[in-house]
Amino acid sequence: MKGTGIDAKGQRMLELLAEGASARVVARKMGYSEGTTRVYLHNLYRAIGVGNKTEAVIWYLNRARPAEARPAPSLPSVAPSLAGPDASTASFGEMALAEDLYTALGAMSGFIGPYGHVWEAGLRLKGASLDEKLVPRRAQSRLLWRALLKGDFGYGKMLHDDGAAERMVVDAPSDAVILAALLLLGGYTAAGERVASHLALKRKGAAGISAREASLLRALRDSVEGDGEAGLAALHELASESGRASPVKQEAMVALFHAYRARRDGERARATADCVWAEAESARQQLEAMGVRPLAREASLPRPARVSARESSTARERAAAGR
Amino acid sequence: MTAAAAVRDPPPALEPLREIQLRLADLGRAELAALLSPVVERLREPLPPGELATAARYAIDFCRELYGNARSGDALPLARAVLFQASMANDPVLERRACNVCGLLAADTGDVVEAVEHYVKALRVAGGDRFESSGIWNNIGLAMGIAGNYEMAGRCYQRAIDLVGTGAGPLYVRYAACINLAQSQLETGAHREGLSSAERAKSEETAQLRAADAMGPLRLRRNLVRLLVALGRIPEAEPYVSEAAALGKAIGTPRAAIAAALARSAYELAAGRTDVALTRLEAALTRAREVPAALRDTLASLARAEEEAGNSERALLRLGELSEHVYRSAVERARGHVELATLGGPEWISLDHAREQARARLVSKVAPARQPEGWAVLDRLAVSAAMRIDRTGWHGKRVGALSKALAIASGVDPLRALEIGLAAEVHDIGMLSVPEEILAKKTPLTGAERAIVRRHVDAGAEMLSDDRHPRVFLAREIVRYHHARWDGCGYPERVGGRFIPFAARVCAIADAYDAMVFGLDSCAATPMDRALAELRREAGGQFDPELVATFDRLVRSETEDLGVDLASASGMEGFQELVNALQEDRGFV
Repeated sequence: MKGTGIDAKGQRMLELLAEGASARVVARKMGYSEGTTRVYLHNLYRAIGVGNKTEAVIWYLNRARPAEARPAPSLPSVAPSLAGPDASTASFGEMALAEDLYTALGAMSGFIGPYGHVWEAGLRLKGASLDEKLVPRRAQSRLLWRALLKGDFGYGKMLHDDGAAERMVVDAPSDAVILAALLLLGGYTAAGERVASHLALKRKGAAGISAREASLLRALRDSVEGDGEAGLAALHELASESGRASPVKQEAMVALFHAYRARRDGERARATADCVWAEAESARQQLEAMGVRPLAREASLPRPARVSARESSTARERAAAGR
Repeated sequence: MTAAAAVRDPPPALEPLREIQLRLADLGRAELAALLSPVVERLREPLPPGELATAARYAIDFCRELYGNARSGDALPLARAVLFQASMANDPVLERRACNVCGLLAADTGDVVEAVEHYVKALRVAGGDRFESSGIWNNIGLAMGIAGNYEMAGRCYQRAIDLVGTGAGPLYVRYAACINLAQSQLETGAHREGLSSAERAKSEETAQLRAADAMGPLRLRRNLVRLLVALGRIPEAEPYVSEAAALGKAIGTPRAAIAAALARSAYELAAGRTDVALTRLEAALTRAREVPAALRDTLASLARAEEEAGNSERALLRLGELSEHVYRSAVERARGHVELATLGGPEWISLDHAREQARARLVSKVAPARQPEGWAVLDRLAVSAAMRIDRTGWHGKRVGALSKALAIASGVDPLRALEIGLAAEVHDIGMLSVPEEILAKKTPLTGAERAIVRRHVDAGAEMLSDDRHPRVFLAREIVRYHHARWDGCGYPERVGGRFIPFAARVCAIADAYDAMVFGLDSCAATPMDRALAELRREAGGQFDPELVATFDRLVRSETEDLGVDLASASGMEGFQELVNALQEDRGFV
């Protein structure tokens, strides 16, 4: 376990404990006397900062297991270690390149972006519920997010031409950021610039955009003009920030994917798409660890609606005969 | 008012109340709750319109009677049911009265937030009626006083006085507000202003007002004596002492007798007759043991008197007893509130508590996480507790926001970080168990007093003992260990380094930073960067060095985002902006 200061011996002991072994069993399996094992175990507890065996096991399960299952992929330079949904034929990145990110992600797209499943779980933890004020707010964000994943830049242009941008800059600055990103990435530079500068002005008032959102817009603007290398570097910086799973990071990732794709840099676009997948997957795992499974509500095969008992028994007999 | 309620026959819907009235003194908490529940159930459904007015009046009077008998916690469900009836029937007068009684009961049980909510509703119902609003502001002040926030209380009383203006004629609301204002000024140490408020009340007093509320004039005399003594004008206090004694005899309840004795002893102590004063106080204490509501004041006065007389050991003894009393009642009240909110009854204090707990932790791994039952109550109680140390009562919320951000920045999963933040909001809930006298003290605390303040950690853990939900368990760990130091010199003793739970280490940093920047604990507000430097200086001593480094980075980058100047920002402006930005919902967690 990297970074925790536990050696291989400690790791093995924790594994055994997690399987339910007592100190005596651990001693036998590792070839020490029971007393020695107890001393080792107590040193181990001290090292990881827990008080007893149960806590040590909980610590181990929380920390070590997800880390094993979730190798952190890094952006383009390293090949992704997590295969996409259809590993036998194509990687996730290839599917995303062939279609688009939204189609390739499918239901998994709900795990990333603003107002996604994580936000919903958080809302429940806070004891709040989706009320009339939040529902349209969320729908608007999700639509924009979907357009961004799909690369549907025309949607942004349409909203802008309808005059929705001004309203959005005031009511929902974070949504206006996605809108500006759509416009800039789609080549509607003038419109995008206008929204971005409106947003920058708004900062003096009540609810504005954060500096990270501002730097995302700046990076996008730089990436579409000239050769755009500086902008790409800035986007990469925002997208690979460690320790902060936030919508801005995810937006930067998707923007980076589109930027690479627009320059026909298939290799990098593919790797970026894999990172987007990994981000969604890690959010899903985190939710699952907390007992939330937004996609798997019911897992039994439903019977066809109009089947009598006789028909179904006949079908069973036929199936048995065929075997 | 109670005498009138006692002779009247209850309306048919509230028939069970008659039996309760007769046996009130011998009823235990559980029995009383069992007897009250059918009445509450009955009041949940709409009453016939003809019966409503009398029934609600009767129930309100009954609640006040329970309040007078120090059974506020038990009366609360009944009062809430009456309020429900009143708001359904759309009767503004009844609704205002019901709101008032709900607020009174909630404040008496220590839930100041709920009390203020009720009073605000009452204010809305009262509309533009100046006299009614003035009375309600007076009640809000009383609630603030119970929370130990005398400065806010004083402002509420002032508002009550301003509302009715300086118009002629004796006015009960103005009279009562002046008495209360004098008391709050006495507590905050503004003796001169207190004296002028008290004298204003005195000049307003008429025989009619004295008849309306017997305890008011007595409290006024008592405060006058204490104010005059504090100002060194001892001879002037003498007439009030004898007046207080006469009033106490005239009223005849134990509570009045105790108040009169306290006034007299304060005077005797100042006049140098220490032994007489102490004997009188001892006698008052014996009597107060039968009247729980008066016990607090008596013990506090006795502790103060013993200290002034130089019997420091006996003073410590009394102080210990006082803190024990406040501790017990605070824990009991908090548990009562949680019980009331979850309707679970006290069965969770069962023998297989440990087994339940282990099962709950397993379940938490497979069932969707949600807010624990009764969390809203804990949250409100935590705000009430925070009011004792922070004028605004938002200390907990700010620490929660900072803790969440720090947890996210140090690589914790967002939802887990959210839980840590929410749990950190209640970290000072145990402050409810510390007597206000100690927290309001301007001078440095003595060793014994410091030990009492330290016990807030245990009290909080006891209040949160229903840790079947992972968040309550987390909150309990935070409460218990947020004063533990990295080097092991904090309290609880001999806990240090990584033995301190992660969430508690996070909360300790957020707590210390908020206290420094806001200037809590009677120190001046520090600019944000000086406070950061202070944290860095204590890294490895008081705080986890890794977390301090992360926190430093976090605050710097976030304030840069907001354009806040670290060198000058403290207290309300820049820091508040930072916290608001951290609390904002941007579709994340």
